[in-house]
Amino acid sequence: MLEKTILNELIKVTSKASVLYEPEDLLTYESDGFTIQKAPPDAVVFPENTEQVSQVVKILHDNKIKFVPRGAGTGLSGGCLPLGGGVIISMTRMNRILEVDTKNHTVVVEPGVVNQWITDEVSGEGFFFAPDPSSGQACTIGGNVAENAGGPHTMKYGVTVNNILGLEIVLPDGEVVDIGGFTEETNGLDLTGLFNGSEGTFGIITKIITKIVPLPEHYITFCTIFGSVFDGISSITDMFKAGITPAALEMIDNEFVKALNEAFEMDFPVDAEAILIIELDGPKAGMNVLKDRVIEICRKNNVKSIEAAEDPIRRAGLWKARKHAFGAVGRMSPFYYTQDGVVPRTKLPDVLKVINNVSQKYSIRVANAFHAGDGNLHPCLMYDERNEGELDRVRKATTEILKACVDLGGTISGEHGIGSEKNNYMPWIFSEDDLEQMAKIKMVFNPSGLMNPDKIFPTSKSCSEAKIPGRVGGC
Amino acid sequence: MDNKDKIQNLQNHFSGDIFSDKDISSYELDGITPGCILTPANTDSVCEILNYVSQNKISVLPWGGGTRINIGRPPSQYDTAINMNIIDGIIEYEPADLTVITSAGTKISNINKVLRENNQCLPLNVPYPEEATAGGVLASNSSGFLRQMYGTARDMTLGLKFVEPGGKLIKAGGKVAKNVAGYDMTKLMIGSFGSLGIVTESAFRVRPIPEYRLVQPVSFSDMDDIRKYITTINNSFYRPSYSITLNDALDKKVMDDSAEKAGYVLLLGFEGVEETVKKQVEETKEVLSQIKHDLLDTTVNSDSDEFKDKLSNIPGDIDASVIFKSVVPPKSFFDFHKVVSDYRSREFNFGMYSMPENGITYLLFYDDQPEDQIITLIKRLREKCLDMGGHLTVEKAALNVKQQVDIWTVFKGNKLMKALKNKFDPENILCPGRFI
Repeated sequence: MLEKTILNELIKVTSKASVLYEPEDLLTYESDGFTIQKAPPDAVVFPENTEQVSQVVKILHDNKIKFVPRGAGTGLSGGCLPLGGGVIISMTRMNRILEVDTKNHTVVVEPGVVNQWITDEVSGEGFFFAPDPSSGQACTIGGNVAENAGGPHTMKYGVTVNNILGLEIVLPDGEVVDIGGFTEETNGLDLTGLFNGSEGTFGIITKIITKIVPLPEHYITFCTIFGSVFDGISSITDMFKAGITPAALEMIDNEFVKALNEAFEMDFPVDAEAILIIELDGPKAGMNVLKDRVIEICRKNNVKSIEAAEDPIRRAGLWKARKHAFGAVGRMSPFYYTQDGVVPRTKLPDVLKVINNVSQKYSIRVANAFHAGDGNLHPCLMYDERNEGELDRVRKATTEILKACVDLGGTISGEHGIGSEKNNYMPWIFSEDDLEQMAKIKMVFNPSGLMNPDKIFPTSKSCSEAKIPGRVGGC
Repeated sequence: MDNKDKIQNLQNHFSGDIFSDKDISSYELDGITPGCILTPANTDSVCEILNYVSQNKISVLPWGGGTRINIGRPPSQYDTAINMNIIDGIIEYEPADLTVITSAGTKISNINKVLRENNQCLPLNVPYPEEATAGGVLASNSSGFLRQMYGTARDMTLGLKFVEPGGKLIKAGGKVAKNVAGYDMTKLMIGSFGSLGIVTESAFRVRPIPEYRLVQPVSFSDMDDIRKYITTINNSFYRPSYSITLNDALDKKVMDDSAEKAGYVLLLGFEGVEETVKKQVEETKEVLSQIKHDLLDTTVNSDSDEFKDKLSNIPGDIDASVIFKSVVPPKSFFDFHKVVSDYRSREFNFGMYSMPENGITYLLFYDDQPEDQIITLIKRLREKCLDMGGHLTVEKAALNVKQQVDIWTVFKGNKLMKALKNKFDPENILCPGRFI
């Protein structure tokens, strides 16, 4: 509970309508998309411009009050939970698109701008913003930068950091700093690169210079069905060998296939072990050559069926298999927990074997979706919290799956971030020296430690101690 | 401790395999010759060296191939060079995963020789790839014109290992394409010019070699005509894969003299599937048909590795006595180019190598130029770059020039950068004074 004097100061620098502090108003903010863990804030403040952010941060800093920035709250790793109390600084009212410059291929936005809005703004002029996380209709750019968000098209277009040129940030003591700029070429240390993915522990983003790219002329989307994940992965390997870099490579396994058939009466064959959505984009001339090659490669790798679509409506139909996958699970299971691991792409069949074993060991049904081009997997563990011990088995299963990812040469997060969900797994991939080096960096930006504490770095608490279960989001 | 004592202590501490005080003049930099050279054979040795030098406050400069070593202010102190060249070799290469892990001393050309066997490449067409090392390329974030298709070293590096100034080996990133675990120290280290640590190993994402490649040189007498072409073609889906402009001081470095050339040569690269490339060329010719130009003979200047290497070498040309690199937002490129060209026509003679898509122009001086005029030019062009939202770096110049004008444009976020430098290197033993 915040002292009245502090509340009054916060109201003074923003407005009465910009500060929430009644318990019933704070409930909405007690978790993000990682609903397994809940931590109600002491207050939520909604600044509307950089100056207000700076003033708010100064008040909290000077009074040694913990604080954490929050975008749309779609994050899946507990990144914006105010653990142990504190103030949430919600950036959702800073949601203006400030400057569109298609000649320079840049758009300047405030952090509360929804990801999809940028593409909506520039598509009429033949551009788009490439990072497209599945929550793109809801998540905000500030959050995307904080988590270095990915999505299905990262293989060709890169992740968020590859599409951000500069930032205005408010440091945890209230100082406003500009880093980067309007050129790709950095001058000095790459602070913009470092800041991306810092999960709200370095500063609050108040302005973002994004890079937009020209829309391709043509798209071809394939929906391919394989009798094994291995065949699907081999097709991808062969495509890369043939010099083909698809814009998207999305795979779902048999459990998701069953879920789609059950939930939405889709008519996929029950022995479809893997559905691979392949998308090519680029100039139309030459696409038929690539299309023929993709088909040939898939056939060489025992594809059971392959359908290619070029018109937008049919393409959207083929994407349904992927886009409705998590929704299908949501209709079959009262709760599900989605993980985010990465392995070298060629190890995807190996990690799937592990997941199958883990699923049997803990009697937890697991459906798997992959951003197959970059080895980023999202196992979806289905459970019912009302069944005693089931959530506990889910957590154990998750731990084993992520450990397998690390053992296979991968890592514990490809795009969701570490947050409070996986901070205690960091020693699996980083030594004490590595973590100490990162801590030095954090000390430069956030010496007081007041901003978003207990995230990323291992703590004595872990998410397995959180007592309150809940439904968690898909991706 | 004076310099002689430091060198003596190093000699006493390190074996003859590592320590040498022979041939030290090869490591001279900005008028300072180090007292010795330390040559680690492996990463553990780098750790031992940095641990020792940081405890004994001995300043060091890591060296790779030396192709970019000139970039930096004159060192405030330079006791010893660390030769990273024998820590070389491919550590792991998985063609199916499109990843390669190499030791820092591996030459870029050697990496590509191995990748070529699987029709893959690391598209970092940096100057002098037979000498440039992976570690040096990352330290300087060096890249070539293929950045227009693939991005820079920053975009191709999945992870790296470096030894921090105290001697501990640190891992950053990993070997997978998507990785958000922990802070992105990979991005921090790339382009840090050896001031935060010494890179010992790096994991890169490789690319398939495009099946069809063509370079079409086009001659223009006026930059405004190039502007018309670029502005128009950029509205097309069939824009070139990359474009480079050379002025008449540089075109003979890549093309033979028999070709009739006017003021500028625009080199247009087309790479991809044959059908796409043909359509790209067709579209370019259609746009050019409305603009005054001359299509030069491609058979004379066909796309070949030799041609590309010559073109890639220009930005770091060892024959140039002075090199500036200016960067402006792409939309300001032509305006800036005009400003630079005006200086050329009035006062100076220099080569201009530009990448309009990135807003980058290199100025290369080959004749002796009065130093005070060079300094004045730096200041004026830098001011212009800053006005346009860019920056200018003096990548090569005489010591007198470097002592009178900062080679770097003031950094945004300088306070944070200094704080990071102080945190990483409190004793300021790594490349002191050169960068942050």
